[in-house]
Amino acid sequence: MSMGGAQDQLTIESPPIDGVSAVHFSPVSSNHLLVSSWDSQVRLYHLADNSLKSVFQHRAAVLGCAFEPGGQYAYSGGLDTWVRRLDLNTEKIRVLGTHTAGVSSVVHSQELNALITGSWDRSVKLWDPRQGNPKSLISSHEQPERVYAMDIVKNTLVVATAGRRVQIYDTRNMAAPAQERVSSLKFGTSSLACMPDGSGFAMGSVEGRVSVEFFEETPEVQARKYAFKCHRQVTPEGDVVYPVNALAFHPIYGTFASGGSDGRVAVWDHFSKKRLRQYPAFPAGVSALAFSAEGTKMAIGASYSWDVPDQRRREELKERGDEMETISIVVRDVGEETKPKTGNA
Amino acid sequence: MAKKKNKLVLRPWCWYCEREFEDEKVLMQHQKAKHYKCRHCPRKLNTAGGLAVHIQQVHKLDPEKIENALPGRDGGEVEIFGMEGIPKNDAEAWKRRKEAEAGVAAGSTSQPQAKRPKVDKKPLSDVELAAQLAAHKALMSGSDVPSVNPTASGTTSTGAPIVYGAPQTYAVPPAPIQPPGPPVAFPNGAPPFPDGRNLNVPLHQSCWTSRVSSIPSWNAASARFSSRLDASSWLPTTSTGGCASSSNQDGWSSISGHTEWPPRFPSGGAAAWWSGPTGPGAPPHLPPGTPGSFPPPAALASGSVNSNDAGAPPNPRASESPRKVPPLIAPILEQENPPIKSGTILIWEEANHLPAEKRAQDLKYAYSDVPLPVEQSDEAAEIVGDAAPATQARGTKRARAEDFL
Repeated sequence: MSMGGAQDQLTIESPPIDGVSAVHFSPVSSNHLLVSSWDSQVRLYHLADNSLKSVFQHRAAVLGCAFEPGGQYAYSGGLDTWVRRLDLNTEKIRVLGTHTAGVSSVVHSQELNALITGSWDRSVKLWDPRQGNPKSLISSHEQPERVYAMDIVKNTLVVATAGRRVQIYDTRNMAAPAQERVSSLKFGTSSLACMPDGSGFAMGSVEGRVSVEFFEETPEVQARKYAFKCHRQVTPEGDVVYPVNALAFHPIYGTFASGGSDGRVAVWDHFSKKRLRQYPAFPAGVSALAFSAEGTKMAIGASYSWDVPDQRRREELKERGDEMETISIVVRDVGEETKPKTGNA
Repeated sequence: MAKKKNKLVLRPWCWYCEREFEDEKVLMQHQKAKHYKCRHCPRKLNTAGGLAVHIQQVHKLDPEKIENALPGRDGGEVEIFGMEGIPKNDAEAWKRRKEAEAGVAAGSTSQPQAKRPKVDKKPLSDVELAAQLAAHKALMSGSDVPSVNPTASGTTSTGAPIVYGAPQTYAVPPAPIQPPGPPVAFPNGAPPFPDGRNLNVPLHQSCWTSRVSSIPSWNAASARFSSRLDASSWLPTTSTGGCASSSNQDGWSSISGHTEWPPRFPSGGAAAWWSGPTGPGAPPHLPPGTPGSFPPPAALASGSVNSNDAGAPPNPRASESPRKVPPLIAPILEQENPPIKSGTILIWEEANHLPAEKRAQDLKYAYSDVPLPVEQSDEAAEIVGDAAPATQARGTKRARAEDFL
């Protein structure tokens, strides 16, 4: 590995064999890491002994996964359009239902005790995970476009879709979105994460930019929204602009991390609008990020996201030393560097 | 980035020194000679444990490190016997490394392969030839196969999972005697198309299981299979035997028609569909019979083989449905990227699709549709949810593997 022998960092020994689509820490133990991958598997790692605890085989690439708050079950969705509940203790799978196109995002609502999935079929579906198909489907909500990213905080569900749309739902009333917005970013939405205090969300685009927005619709609050450039690299031919693939908020400090196809992870303090930390580049682009529930660890999935369509460019990147075939999952201990600087807020 | 054909054979290897061997017998000889040899007498033991006990009891010495082993692997804690006992992590890491070296798609070697359907290689009699020709003609005229695909939206009115019309294509008249499924479409011995046999999903089931739980058998199986994976046995016969009558210039599509591939093409998008695996800029229309241009068959098999899904395919017909890539979904709210500052290079320039959507178009990510398991009652729910046989089998096997390690 090219990252030096930092002691506060654990590299998972048997990472997926294809792109990492999502990583999540168990809500009850920062020792358990759930990883979904394009290799059609969802894996559960035990971090203390760096071992693979269980593997869930899917029919096709898995694009998203989520834990339920108890940590016993996980959920997954992917290209095969099925929504599954994974029993992490018994390794059994229950199929809850299906979308009509790939399932791009999976979140669990503690308040509703329901699973929420978003799909490229332009719908968001709510599921009762205690039921099997077909009873499990609670409701389906049409979206203006393909769902690209979703996140939930308490009763607020944010759905980012193609066409740069954002629907904000109150999960107690899913009949219609509470707010419908057009992304302030001019390029397609590639990632989304809600602030743990429930006041707003951050959204990343394929054009190396992140916006920070707030739910409250008063002009004063809305005036605080802003966007900034990130995940860019200055090269002799010009500024290379990479997609922002992953965003994750620190559960305690409210700062957030962003991961881009440039292979970098940066931690941002959105109160003071400052970058707190940038970590050494990973050999491949960063495709997934997560903080543990107590905020002591950050998991980083690094794998090529197939976003360099130009063959020539790919060759160049390779020459520069980008190892696009490398797939790695790294768990870092995080501490003070993710804390907002006091006095600036 | 042309992928090599699936030539990768995972040979037995020594966990201590990462050397590869022709077969497990030689590996065991090697381990005995290099790693389990007693330093104090000429005795050679069979395992690390055996050596430790020997040193302790015969020579009354403390256990020593394993000789000639890589750092970190020189302890006696891991009981290795040939390929048995290799820690899961290391086995996986090794496989990935081998795949990377061979340039094979990751994961593609993980599966012991499906048995190749039996084919009778005797020359065809006139009657048989005529029958095949008739069948072929009927197939070519009777069903406009590519158009069977639904439109790009990928949704069905019933809300059922997308089944790109695939099963219907099997119902075409010419081969009524045959069970559905491409590999057996030609009774009289035209060998199946390269990847036809891989459409036979059930045979792949539990591949993952055997990989995780019993390395030796997986290895043996993959070695057995790869010896069969000989390109020369694939195409020529198919095109002469099966497609002789087709004078279509675009030989590719005639083969397609024959082997009932087209259901896997998103409608109207064959070219785009192909650009994935071969890399952008590659000619979209590949000459027929270029095995190298297909991803290794096993790559197709990997990924959608499912040994663990509750409610695994209830009937063979469904499980034999071909792997396919759902079409790219067209945008409704069409976007156009604003002009970017000169001097900036945008990695992802598509305004209407994410990289993941384009990636999902790659043949590598094709999968076969199986009907969604339905749980009729609460009792049934329990059965489907908790007692799917495949799941069960896998679960117990894994547990055993872990005990073993």
